Amino acid sequence: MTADEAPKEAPALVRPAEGRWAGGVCAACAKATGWPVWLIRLAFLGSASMLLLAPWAYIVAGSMGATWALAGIGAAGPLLYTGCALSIPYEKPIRGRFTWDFVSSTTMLLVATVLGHFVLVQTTPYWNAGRAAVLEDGYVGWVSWIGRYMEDPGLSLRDVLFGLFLLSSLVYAFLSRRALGNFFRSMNVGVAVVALFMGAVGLGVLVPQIDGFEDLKKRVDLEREYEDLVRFESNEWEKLPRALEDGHEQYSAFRWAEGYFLYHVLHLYGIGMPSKEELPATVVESLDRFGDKYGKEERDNREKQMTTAFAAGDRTAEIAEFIARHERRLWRAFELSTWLHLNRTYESDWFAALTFLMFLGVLVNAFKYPLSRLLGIQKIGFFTVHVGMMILLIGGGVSKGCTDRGIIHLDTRYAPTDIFYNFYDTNQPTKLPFHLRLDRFARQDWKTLEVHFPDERFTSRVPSYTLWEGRTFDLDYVEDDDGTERPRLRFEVLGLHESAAVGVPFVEEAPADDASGTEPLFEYEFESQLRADEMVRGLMIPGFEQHELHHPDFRLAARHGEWSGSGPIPADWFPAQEGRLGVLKTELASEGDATAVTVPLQIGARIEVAGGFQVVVRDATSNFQLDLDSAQVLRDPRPLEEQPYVRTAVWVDVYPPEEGGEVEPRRILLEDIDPVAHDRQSRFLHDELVIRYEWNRWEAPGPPRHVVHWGGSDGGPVLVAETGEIEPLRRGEALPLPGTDLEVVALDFYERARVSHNDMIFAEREIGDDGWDESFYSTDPKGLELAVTFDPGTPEERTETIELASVRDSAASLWFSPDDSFYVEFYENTAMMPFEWRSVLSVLKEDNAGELYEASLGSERQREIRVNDYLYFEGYRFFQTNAIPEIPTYSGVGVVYDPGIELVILGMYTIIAGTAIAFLVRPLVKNRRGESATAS
Amino acid sequence: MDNLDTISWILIGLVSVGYVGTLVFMGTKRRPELLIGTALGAPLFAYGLSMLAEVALGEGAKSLGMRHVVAPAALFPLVWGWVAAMSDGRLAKWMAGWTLALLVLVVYLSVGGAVPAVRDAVWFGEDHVPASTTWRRITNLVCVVGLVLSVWAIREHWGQFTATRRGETPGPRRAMRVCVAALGVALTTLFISVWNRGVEVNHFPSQTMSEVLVVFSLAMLVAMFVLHFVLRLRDFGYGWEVLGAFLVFTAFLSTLAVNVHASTLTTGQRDLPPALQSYWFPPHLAALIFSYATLYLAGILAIAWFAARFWSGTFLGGRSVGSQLLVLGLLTLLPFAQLLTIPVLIVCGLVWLALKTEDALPQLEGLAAVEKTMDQVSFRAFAVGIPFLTAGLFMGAFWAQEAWANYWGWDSKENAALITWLVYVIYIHLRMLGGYRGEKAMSVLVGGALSVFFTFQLFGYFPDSQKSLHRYTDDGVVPQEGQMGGDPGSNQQARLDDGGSTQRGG
Repeated sequence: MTADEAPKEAPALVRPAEGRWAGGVCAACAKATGWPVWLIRLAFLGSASMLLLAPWAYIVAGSMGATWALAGIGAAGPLLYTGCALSIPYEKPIRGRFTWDFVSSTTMLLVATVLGHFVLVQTTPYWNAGRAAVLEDGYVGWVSWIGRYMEDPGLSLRDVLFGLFLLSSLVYAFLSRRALGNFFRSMNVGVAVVALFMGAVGLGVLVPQIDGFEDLKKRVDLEREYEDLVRFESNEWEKLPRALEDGHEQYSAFRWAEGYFLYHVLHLYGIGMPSKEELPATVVESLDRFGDKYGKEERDNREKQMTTAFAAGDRTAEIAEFIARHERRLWRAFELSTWLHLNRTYESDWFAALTFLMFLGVLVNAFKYPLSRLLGIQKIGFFTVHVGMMILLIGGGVSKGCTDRGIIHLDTRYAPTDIFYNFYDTNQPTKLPFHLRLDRFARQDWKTLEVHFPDERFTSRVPSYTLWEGRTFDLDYVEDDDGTERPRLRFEVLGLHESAAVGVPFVEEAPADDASGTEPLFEYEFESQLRADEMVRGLMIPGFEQHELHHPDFRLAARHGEWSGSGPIPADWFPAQEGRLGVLKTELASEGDATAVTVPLQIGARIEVAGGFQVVVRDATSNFQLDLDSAQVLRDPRPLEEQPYVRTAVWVDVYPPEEGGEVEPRRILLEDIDPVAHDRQSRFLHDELVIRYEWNRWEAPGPPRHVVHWGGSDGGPVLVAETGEIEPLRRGEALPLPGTDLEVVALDFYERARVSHNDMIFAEREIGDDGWDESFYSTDPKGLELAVTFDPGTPEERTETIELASVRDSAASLWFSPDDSFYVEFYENTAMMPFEWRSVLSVLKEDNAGELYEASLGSERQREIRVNDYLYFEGYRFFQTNAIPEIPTYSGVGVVYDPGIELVILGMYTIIAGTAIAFLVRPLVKNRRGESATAS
Repeated sequence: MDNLDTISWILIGLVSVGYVGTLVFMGTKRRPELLIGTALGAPLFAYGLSMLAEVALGEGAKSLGMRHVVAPAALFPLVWGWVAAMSDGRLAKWMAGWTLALLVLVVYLSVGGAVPAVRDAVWFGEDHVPASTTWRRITNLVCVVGLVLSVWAIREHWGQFTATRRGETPGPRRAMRVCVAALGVALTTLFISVWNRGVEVNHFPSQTMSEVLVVFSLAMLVAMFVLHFVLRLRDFGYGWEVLGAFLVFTAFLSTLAVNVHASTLTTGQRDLPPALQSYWFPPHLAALIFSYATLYLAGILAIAWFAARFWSGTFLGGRSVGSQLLVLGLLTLLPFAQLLTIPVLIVCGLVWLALKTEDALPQLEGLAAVEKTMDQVSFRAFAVGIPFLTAGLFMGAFWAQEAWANYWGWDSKENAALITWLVYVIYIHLRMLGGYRGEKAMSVLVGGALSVFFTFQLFGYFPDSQKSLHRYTDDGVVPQEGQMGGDPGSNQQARLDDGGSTQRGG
């Protein structure tokens, strides 16, 4: 500018009172600066978007400097914009309301949220101390706490300054109450606050939330170095320091979840993912045979699962590789989300502040109109919704402030307790104001049926059918002469019973010309171990493991044929392989059945199993015992052959397929607890490998073995010892078993035995008037009446009704078809999720003398808790939450103290009613009145 | 199965000859708009052809994308045939003959087992399938018939519309009545299917994704049935009934597509884990699924609105290139656009084309009224859905309160559903307080429908969903022993797992 140029008249810095704010401000700025409007808009928007880029700069490039620079520019834009907006005068004096647009209201709300966050962070110690005081002394506790605080530690300068800040803020808010009212009454502000809240909830979905969120101290410790984790993962440390363990767990979960998500985002529509491979021809062939027996639907489902699993295996590998490639970035993202409290979004202070802003918005807007208008048909629905929303948010606030959640460990064997453990921190005990005792606890499993076709050898698991009365299913499809497929077998559940008493089966010899459905059978009796002088009758069908007789002093099995009665004994009668225990069944977790590999289970051997893994069986016991208090294994010091057969367990070392990979030492396997169904798998280092086993008591080391044989053509039945000695047997006489006191008397040797269980007695479930079901707690075997129809729908159709009881390893749970082509097994499926758990609790209060007395809570049904049915006592709610299959007397009971529940539920009902009025009732009413409902 | 390759090759030949023939035909007719319309379908045709080629080559069309793209591709010639029939007699014969040949082959192919999903969907001659499957297949067949009926209804209303424009007396309404009756039949048969499934699995059939999807199909038919009476499109005039028939068409098509998809998932019976054995299970699921279906239909209306806007800009002008590109981008780049937005865009284009051939293109000022009505109609559909969404969401909270004394666990599925609800809360405020109409309100509706889709189908991919309690619908996810939060037994178990070598903690 030269001196002689007349200074131009400064452009008027005015913003139009009419029209949109954003446009108005930008136009005014453009006028003032002489820049084009689009440039101004771009500058504001561009700078604001830097705020979004800032975290990426850190995550992707790892540059702190760039991050802060971008964040600075990003914050400057909206602030500058709001500043400009506030400083530019209007064209005309403002009348009426100040208009907030989306940009400015979002900015203001974000600023308020950050401010609220800091206020809450600053006041956290006061809140916590005050809350503790209230819990102890009721609401007067607050006052006494302030008194105590004044004395010790006394007011600090920080307290005073903070108090003054709060006070001045309140005064300022009071003075600008009209402006505040205008702010919250603005529709744009309302939408902005809901949108921000929505975004916040969305952030919590996109960042995996940390479980230990209720305890701040349990959060990730940012002090530690990434290198620590790298060193841990590369096996430099044997074990992560305790302080880092939680953090590492959280980071692993984060890494996997984000990797999984991002991998799929980058492979939309499955493009670029490993394609679904065709199943190998042998698998398909095996599936087809499987389908012939178990039906097409079952077959197709297996095929779908296998195909999915095959593709999933490759995909999992690719995701792992993707994660490894972006390890550093993922770590920085984790760090950032920890720093911004994104991985505990819903418990964070900024989220609370935002929710409070939303509450203010609802509060101010609910009463925007006079009450008479609010209660008219046009408005009442919406008014109700807003009132409901307020009740809900207040209730939520109460919950946030006062909730105590935890778990109480109860055991029917133990005395009442008043200690519960806060969730996510089992080391932090909290006291209940009363004691709780577990009177009864039971788990009932689904009654299940399996149908086996022993001649077919399927690699796939045999399907298990959950039973209910009336359930019908068809099996074993055959092709008719005219080419149509029909089922050869139909099963129908005629009755299920809660209790079954198994009598002695009835055996008879079939005539030689009608040998169908008969088996050779050895009938014997021995002295009962429970009741002396009482003889127990037993049946033994050759070749069935379930029928072997196992005793601490001897093992006894039956064999028919195979041997002429003289000459060398068949080698497979007494398999003698050092350390052989049974079979290991392995498969890859992600690929299931298709990769199943079954190998002999042998102590000490290094065994090749599924997926290229190798396992070494380190140790095994047939007397697995758990100290129920400490959950520690009580090792039986005796050698395996001297241990009683109680419950088997096997310890294995797992070697990964890759050279030099980390070895997983001493994974424990329990035969009766399925690692997948009971979610044990995730606890193993190589969780990709599923290992199950079947213990074979005949093959495993144990007491001397003997075989009962019908004898050859020349002689009568004999007893063959493992040592090779052969002794003749006679009906009615004791077996010459050396080294045992137990007398086993041979009763009969059938060539063609027909067995029936016609003296099984079923008892019915009795449900009391109040819904009490005593039978739930019964451990009796369950009973099943099953109709088996052969060749249904054909002239040869015939039906047989059979009765079974779920007695483990007993003939009563099995039924063999007359033609030996299949057998059915009835059992309670403990391997899967149970049908239900139930507990009966008692509450014990303390009287003045400190003695416990039982609080009257009514009948057992009233004191019973089930999943979906809790017990309420003095503000505390107790619900069935956990069980440990290894410890059947243990019941994990959830404890919740939450005085906000009622308010929240009321709020929710109010909102539902409000929406129904606004959107369903209102149009109907208006319709009747002849108005248009949508014209609002 | 051996003659499959031959049939596929015949099919490829037929499709190609038909396609090229149509192009040549149009060239001779000097009808550039028809030429453009046909060319628009070229990518879809190419895709459909590539799938057939894969079948022919024996590789099988298994990828997800392909299956989904093939549906609109197969739809295209059908709609085309009708449009052409409205404008040109000879072309109509050519198209009809070609379409018929194609249809016969598709039926043969599906019966022969080439495309198992299609065959499974409509083929119920097979023995030994559960009653629920049979009834579902019957429903699918009714839906196929319904598709033809709704095309008839579109044609009939179109005729009535043009007749009134010409000042003639419109013919009687017949097709739509039959259509609604078919809708009633379909929802009855599908209800029987769902009922049977309930009997077959011994609980409310919504535990596995295949079960939930069939319930969703049912909800869609019910929602359409209800909406047909709620929207009262007759009140707006004959032109609007075309839209109504189009919606019915979409409902039939979606039901068919969802059912086909459901049949590709595993269908095994699964027992209810204890936490799901609650009286809240059926109402919670039913309310949410019904609201999803209704809001999905509202979303379709919004998408149709955008498509109509795009075509009005194309045919009448008056819109900037930027806004046109924006709409086109929105419609084609949305996630899973091939399922919904692209077919809707094409169908709308065809309607505009037909309007042009009838010389009945609306004036710009008339369009404003049309858009306003469409806005009202979509709001009505939304208003039916939102109370159910609200109720379904909060019923989940009541249930959780009874199971774990925790009304809101910030489970990621709860949050995804909450986000959906909040999108609609924003929609209500913008529309009722801000007076938003047209593109802004409509784009929020589309956003809501997208959010429903994410919550319903894609939720399992979200990072925080890995430990969600709502993942039981996925294949292969085993419910956990401890159903709530952390596993308090875990440290006991950990001690057990390492052989009891560590000491017991506090």
